[in-house]
Amino acid sequence: MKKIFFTFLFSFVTIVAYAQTTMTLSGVVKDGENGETLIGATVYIPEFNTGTVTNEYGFYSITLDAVDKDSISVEMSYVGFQNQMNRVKVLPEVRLDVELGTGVALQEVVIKANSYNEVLKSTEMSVETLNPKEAKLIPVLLGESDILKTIQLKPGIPSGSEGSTGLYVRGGRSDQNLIVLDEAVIYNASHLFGFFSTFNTDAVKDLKLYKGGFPSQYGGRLSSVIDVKLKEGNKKKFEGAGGIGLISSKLTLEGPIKKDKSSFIVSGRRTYFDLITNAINESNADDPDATQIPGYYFYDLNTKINFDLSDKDRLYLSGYFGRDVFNFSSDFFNFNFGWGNATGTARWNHQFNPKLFSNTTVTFSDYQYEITNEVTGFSFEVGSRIKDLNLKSDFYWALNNRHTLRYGIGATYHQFEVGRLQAGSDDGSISFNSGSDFDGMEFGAYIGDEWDVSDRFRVNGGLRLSAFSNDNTLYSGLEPRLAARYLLTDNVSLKASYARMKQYLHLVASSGVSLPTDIWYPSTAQIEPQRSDQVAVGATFKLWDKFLFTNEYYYKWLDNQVDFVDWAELFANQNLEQEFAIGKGYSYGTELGLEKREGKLTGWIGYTLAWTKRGDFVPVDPNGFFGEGTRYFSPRYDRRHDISVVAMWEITKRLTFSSSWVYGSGDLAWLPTGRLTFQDVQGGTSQVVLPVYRERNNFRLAAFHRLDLGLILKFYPKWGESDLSINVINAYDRRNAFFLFLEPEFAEDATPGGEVFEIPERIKATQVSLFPILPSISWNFKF
Amino acid sequence: MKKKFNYIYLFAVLAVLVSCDLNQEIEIELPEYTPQITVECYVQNGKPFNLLLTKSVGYFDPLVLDPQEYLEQILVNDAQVSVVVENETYELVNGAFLDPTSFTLNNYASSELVNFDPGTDLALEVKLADGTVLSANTSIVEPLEIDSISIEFNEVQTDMARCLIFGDDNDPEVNYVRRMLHDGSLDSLVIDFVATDEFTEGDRFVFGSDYSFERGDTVINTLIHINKEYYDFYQSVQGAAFVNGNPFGQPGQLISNIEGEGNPIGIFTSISVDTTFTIVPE
Repeated sequence: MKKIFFTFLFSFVTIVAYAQTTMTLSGVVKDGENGETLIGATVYIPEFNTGTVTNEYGFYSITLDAVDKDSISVEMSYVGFQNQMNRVKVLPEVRLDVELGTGVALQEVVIKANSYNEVLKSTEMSVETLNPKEAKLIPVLLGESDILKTIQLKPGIPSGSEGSTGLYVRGGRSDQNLIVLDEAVIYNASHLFGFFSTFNTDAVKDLKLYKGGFPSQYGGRLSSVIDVKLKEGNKKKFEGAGGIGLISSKLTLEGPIKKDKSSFIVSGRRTYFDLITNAINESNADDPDATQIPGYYFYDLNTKINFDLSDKDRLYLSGYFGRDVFNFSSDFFNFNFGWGNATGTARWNHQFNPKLFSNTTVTFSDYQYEITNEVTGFSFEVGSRIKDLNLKSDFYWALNNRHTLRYGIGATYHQFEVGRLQAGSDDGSISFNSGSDFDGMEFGAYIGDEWDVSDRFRVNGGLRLSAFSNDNTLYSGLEPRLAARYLLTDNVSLKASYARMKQYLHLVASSGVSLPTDIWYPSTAQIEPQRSDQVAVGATFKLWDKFLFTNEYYYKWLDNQVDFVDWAELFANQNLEQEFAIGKGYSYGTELGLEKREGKLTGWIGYTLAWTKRGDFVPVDPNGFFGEGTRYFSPRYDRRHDISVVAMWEITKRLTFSSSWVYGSGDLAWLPTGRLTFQDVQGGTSQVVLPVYRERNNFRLAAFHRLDLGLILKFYPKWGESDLSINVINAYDRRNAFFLFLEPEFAEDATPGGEVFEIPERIKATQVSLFPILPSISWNFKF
Repeated sequence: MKKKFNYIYLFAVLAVLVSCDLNQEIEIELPEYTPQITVECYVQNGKPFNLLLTKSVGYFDPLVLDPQEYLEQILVNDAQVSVVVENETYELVNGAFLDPTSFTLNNYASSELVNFDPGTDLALEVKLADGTVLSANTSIVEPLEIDSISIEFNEVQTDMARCLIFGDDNDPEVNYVRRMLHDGSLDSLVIDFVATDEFTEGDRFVFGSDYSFERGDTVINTLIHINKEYYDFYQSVQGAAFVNGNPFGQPGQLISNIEGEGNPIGIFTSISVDTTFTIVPE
């Protein structure tokens, strides 16, 4: 009897266990070739038609209720990798770390519809991602692969003028983009005055750009967040990669420190124009009539080491150092202009339990520029600097199968050196110093919940509390975030989002063009934080499992926008904020994107139709002058239409052809409408043609369009891989406007004595293009 | 092989040819421009009221080079101009008034000489032929003098000298000045800027130059005490002149103190001028 009872009890318990097991599956998904964690990899449970994605550290956690089987299937997938199906035993807690293999080259992998499904199912909208492997296929300027410039080919991310890396996302200024590299802020992501970005594609693992629907963990900028993650380094074997191009060379070395446990990566690049110009200058050193050629170079270095301290702990240390140097010297003067970023990051990942994961980060960031000039007996130095020290902790808690919480807290200490000027004579009889130093503390705390309300309806709601203190001024505010997704069918999802953002730092720029001499300035008692509210609605369609079509509409309100009074004195001004004017703005538009990721031919088409206005500016100084008054005007970057068509065709395993065609409405320019004669006082300077400017940005330049073509020829020598990349930028030699200038047009006239001279007839406008058709070639290698 | 090389060479030449000339002229279409009345009037004790009244033209309109035609195009000679000072009205008559020393031209002037105490308010009124009334206000500035000059020679290049000028800045209020430096004659302007003493300490001012004067050169220092309206206006004029033709300059509107309909531009202000001539010792 007892035996029957216990047998029955055991069976009952077993049946109950079958029916009522709650299972938490967690782990890390990695690249099988090099041990890199994979961000956004899909973890899918077919029997339950549910799944999740790995977070930015490759970690995932999913809880299944009432599992009535003894084992379940778990499918892992990621773009560019072979899917992997695992069968795991059902237990309350299961740890499943997976390494995915590629097996074949990127272009040959049939991309399963799962990657589209994740876009459909995610509440994330207004977000663009770019894989560095894709970026390397797309033709680029002078053969320099640039992930930040390539992402500008996606819809809704128009660039500044040709050659510039300034981003003007959904009507926002270029300073309203938060750019983070391994969680450290990059304040100026440009080399060579904006021609190239500071990101070495060989060192980048992932880039994600948010245009709206900002998750609650992000704050500090109004218009976009560009989150760049560096590679961790190959944990399995030592390898290297590099390239030799027309203007720079690069080398990346990575490998295990202890196999499968720790690794390092070092990646650097440098231009070599200056080596050529220095040689020419040296050869002309004895020629008094020879003109010295200015020297210019840039370099950057990314380093990272990481350690798997245990199954639950990982430590990362990474750093970036980049610099641009321009110099010009002669017998009479010595001019140097340098600028650059330096960042450092230390991160500790800890898994408390299968559901709770944390990341604690300390970052350091330093951006500065310095101009020095020495003339006979006199010298000056101008500069500006911003330094940050940041500490934050982020938590990821897979509460249950319906709720995933993210929460965290962080603080940043900012140090500003604004408008530093030191000038004086060598003998000390003339000496001048100016500049302002500020300190500020910025805080942020947030909580967000991704809630599966039903199988079709998911909501991601969050709240961020941010604050900023400077001297005796304290600003704070709540930033609600909300995103929702409704799965209309398995192939159609509807999305909506709302986000409030606040920005406590402002870029002081003397012109519409982003320059390395632009100054970062804190909010103060007179300069309130900028604020934006953005709503967006959209739909995503999966078409025949091959195409992804998205369409979004947005409206953004902008408040406390910073601009400057007419003829603002931004140089060496101790009271810089007296030159500010504060106003409002708004922008709205629609973005369409059609994407194909599968097959031999892949790529996307993007179109943006948008309007942007700014106005109602009031000078901080009551005596200041803002010519537009309270009128609303279009900023220079108000681009009405923006089209991009990108295609990559794998002709054979060794040969890939790629092309990109972009079209954009021309930038706006502020041209004078009248001219007057200004006489001046005795001894002054008369102006026969003094321009009179009235309404801002009254002229639209011609539309910008350009076709870029690229061919990549792969080789497989014994020592590794190499490829020859041939690009033709501006294939049909379109002369796009880089800038416009006005000058007199002269006609010849003759005196009665027959002497011919030139007389000005009229003022003409001349458009200057940056480059014509531009072929380039580069050689890249991997060993 | 030779044929292949020729093709490559030809391609390179063609590439260079098509690559040349990145400039191209473009047509500018802007809304029709309505001329704006421009006033220049610098009130100086010891001189009559002199005013230049002109009008602007479209920026891209053809340039008129004949001086007669040019003046006819820009001068406004049918207005009534007056200045009110302490309830007394001074009429400025229309004519062609050319100062033989400064070669400045004005088309309205008074017969009376200006002689008012610092701080005296002045009000300008210009009635145009179409009935539009323009107005502006200013006040007489305190005199500000250069009380000493120093010539210093370079220790290395001993034949090169610089010039320093000094003066008292006792006024606790913010002062605005325009500092000019000429080399040899008033046609050779070397330094010209406006400045404020708002951020300097002490009650002395000093302005200098670099070591660019040779022995025997004539150094002409001019210090003009100005009002804030002129400081703002002249900065905007310098800015507009700098931006003219400069594609990377940031434009702005001229900061004028002339009020009235039709967006008038210009300056009505008081100035006090001190000019010194110094010869660098041999």
